[in-house]
Amino acid sequence: MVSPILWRCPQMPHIIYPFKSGLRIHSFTTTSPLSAKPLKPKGSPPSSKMNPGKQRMQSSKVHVKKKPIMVQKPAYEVGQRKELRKRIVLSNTNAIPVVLPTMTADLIGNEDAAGAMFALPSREADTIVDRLRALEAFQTKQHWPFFYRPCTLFRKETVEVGRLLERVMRREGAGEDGRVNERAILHGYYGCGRSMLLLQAMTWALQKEWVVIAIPNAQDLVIGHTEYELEGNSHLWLQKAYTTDLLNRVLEANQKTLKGVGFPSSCPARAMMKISQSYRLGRTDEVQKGDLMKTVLETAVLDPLLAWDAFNALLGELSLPGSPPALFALDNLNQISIPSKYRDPAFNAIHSHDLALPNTFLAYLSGKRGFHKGVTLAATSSKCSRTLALDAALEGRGVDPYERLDPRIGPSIEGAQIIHVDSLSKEEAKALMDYYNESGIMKDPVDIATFNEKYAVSAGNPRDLFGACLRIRQ
Amino acid sequence: MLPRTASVRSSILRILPRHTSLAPRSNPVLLRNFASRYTPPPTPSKPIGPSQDVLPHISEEGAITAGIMGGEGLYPMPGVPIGEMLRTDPTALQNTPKLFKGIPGVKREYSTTATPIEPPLPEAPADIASSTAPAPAPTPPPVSPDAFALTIPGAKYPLPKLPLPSCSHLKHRYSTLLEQVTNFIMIGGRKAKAESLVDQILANLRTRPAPKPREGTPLLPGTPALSTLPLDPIQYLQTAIDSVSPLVKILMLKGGGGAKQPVPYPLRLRQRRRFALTWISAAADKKKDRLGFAERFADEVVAVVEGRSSAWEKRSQVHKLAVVSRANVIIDPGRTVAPSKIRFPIAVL
Repeated sequence: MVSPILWRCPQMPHIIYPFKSGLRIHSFTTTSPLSAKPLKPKGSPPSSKMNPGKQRMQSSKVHVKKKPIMVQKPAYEVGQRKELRKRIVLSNTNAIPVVLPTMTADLIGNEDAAGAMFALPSREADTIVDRLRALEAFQTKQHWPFFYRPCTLFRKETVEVGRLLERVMRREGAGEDGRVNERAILHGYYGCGRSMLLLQAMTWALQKEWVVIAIPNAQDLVIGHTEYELEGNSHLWLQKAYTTDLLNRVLEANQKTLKGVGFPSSCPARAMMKISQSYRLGRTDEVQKGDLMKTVLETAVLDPLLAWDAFNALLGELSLPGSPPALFALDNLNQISIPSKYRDPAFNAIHSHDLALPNTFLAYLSGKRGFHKGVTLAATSSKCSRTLALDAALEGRGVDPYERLDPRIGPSIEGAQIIHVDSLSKEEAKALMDYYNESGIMKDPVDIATFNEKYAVSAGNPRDLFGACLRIRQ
Repeated sequence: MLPRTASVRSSILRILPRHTSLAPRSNPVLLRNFASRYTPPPTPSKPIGPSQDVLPHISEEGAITAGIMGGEGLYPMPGVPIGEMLRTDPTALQNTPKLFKGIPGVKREYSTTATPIEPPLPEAPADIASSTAPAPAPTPPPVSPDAFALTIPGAKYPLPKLPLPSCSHLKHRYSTLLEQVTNFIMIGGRKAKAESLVDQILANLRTRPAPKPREGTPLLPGTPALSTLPLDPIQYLQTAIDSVSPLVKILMLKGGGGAKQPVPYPLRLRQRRRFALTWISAAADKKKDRLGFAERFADEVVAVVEGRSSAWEKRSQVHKLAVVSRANVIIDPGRTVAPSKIRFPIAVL
């Protein structure tokens, strides 16, 4: 509203208020209602182009939508999807081959080699890669298909794993009965390379002609996918089908050792290949003393009913003096620390430790049973539901009476050495990034800025480092 | 109606405080020129010297003189090279300055342009000024941003170089092509899923055998050798998508007589890529094998580069129709577009 008096105005301007005259304005009309136009009828205004009849006709028209042509695809065959899921590709011919030294058995426990890349032995005469593949040591999550040939990083944790093998070979810390057993658990954050360390241990063990028994994924034992039955004597649940598969893998990977080819005839290890006592296989079969271990396993592989006894016979023979050293490895230890998916006849969940194979492994891990010379190695996994009891046991905490933790977990890993797998050091990360760059799959040059950026982003975690270097989605 | 007036309160008219520093402004552009009668006008920085007199070339001058005098000039043509002259006339060598004798026919390596040499100011000769007057304070060298970055106390790394590269922005980390492919694949806003699918596509392209070149596949010119593509999967994807992308789309517009007529319409880069992506994914979905999306898509990308994808047929179909209906192209005279903004060569049609 304009104020009537203007500020600092010497002369009053002449202002006219047009509506403030004597004329009054009514807020109502004085026109007669009869002279108003008639109200328009309600509804849509009639358009000049379209008459209402036509409009109605159009709205009632049924639009038939064309169906998209569906392509009939053939159904999957039995096992095809599992094969696709588990297919391991170890070579990429597009990648540039990198010349690297071979990961030989001389490197066991060698500290100077830490922080360098090594190629797995893959010469024509060497069947190590095939044997590792038979043991399912390679996993799909490990980025093998991007590189020309399988290569691994020698880390400071690799040295520690090598020390275990070295101690067994040198018979350090042997008891009165001459038994040497090393037990260890690889533990760390996700993607820190535990499974890869298992692979490296297996590589060395195979090169040294050890007997390698490996359970590549403990999850297969507890998710209720295999047949199971109760054995009366031990009150354990046997998984005979899985045991047959396991023996098959052991047989394929350890052909040379079981035949005793590489050993001189005077070596006691050769004598082991023959059975020292007679065993009963299944209900009817029996193997006599002096039979070859290989033939025992071969017969057991054909008949699942004999598998469990044959497996026990193998373990029993490996605990006798003169037997070759053994490596018993299991990946995803967490999976056998939670209740299994199996049910007993009363429909109670079966505890994982009541299954025969996990029970046997844990007996070796906790030192209740032992090889004559052997290493028992387990690796935890991060892809598992929470295992509070195992975490407490790994941290060395006692069971809190106010926490409802599984009391069987702690004793099952008692006495095992815990190897903490840490993130990569800068030297190791540099070696890894140089390898990516030389393979031609990482385009950025590894200069100080790139290196620092990728190392900081991945916090030295090997899996994240790969993601930071080569992926969009990390 | 009377003109509206507005009263202004005096409080509004007060001078607002300005957020300026008290230090004198040093920017000469912002300084206002000060002119006074008593101040002499500034001297020009470089006075025109006598040597800058505009005179024609010496041979031209000779020719003009000869024209005036009615005789023959010294040289028939203006601008005869000195080396040539010396070679033809042996007597000229005696009269030439010493300068040219040593280097006949060779261009001088130094300039002979007359530059005005400013005489030293009479009131302040250089030697006296340096001895008597106090030496002016040495001006500090200009600090470059890089040098400043290196001298931040306590910093581990120098400041990043400016301007930052385009990929350094959090939301624009990837190339525009990858972002478009990701968004094209995305369903229901599940971007993480789409990104991992793109990852799988790129991993598939990395590990497949290199595409075999086929005659007659109109790949983009400048495509690197096909054998090198698997090691650079983004380039691989870009080659496929940019090669099959159409230049135009066909709009069916109502023409005269109520009939619809096809009108080719140029597309921008992003639109072209979208057409290519639609065709590639449509061809991938028609595959008979049971494959995952990433595998299907990667298969089709390889097929595009090898020239056996159905996307090529769609592209040539669009282009043929565009060529046929090129007479219908609307060139709107009322629409003014800067010549630099026109991306599409209409004459190609």
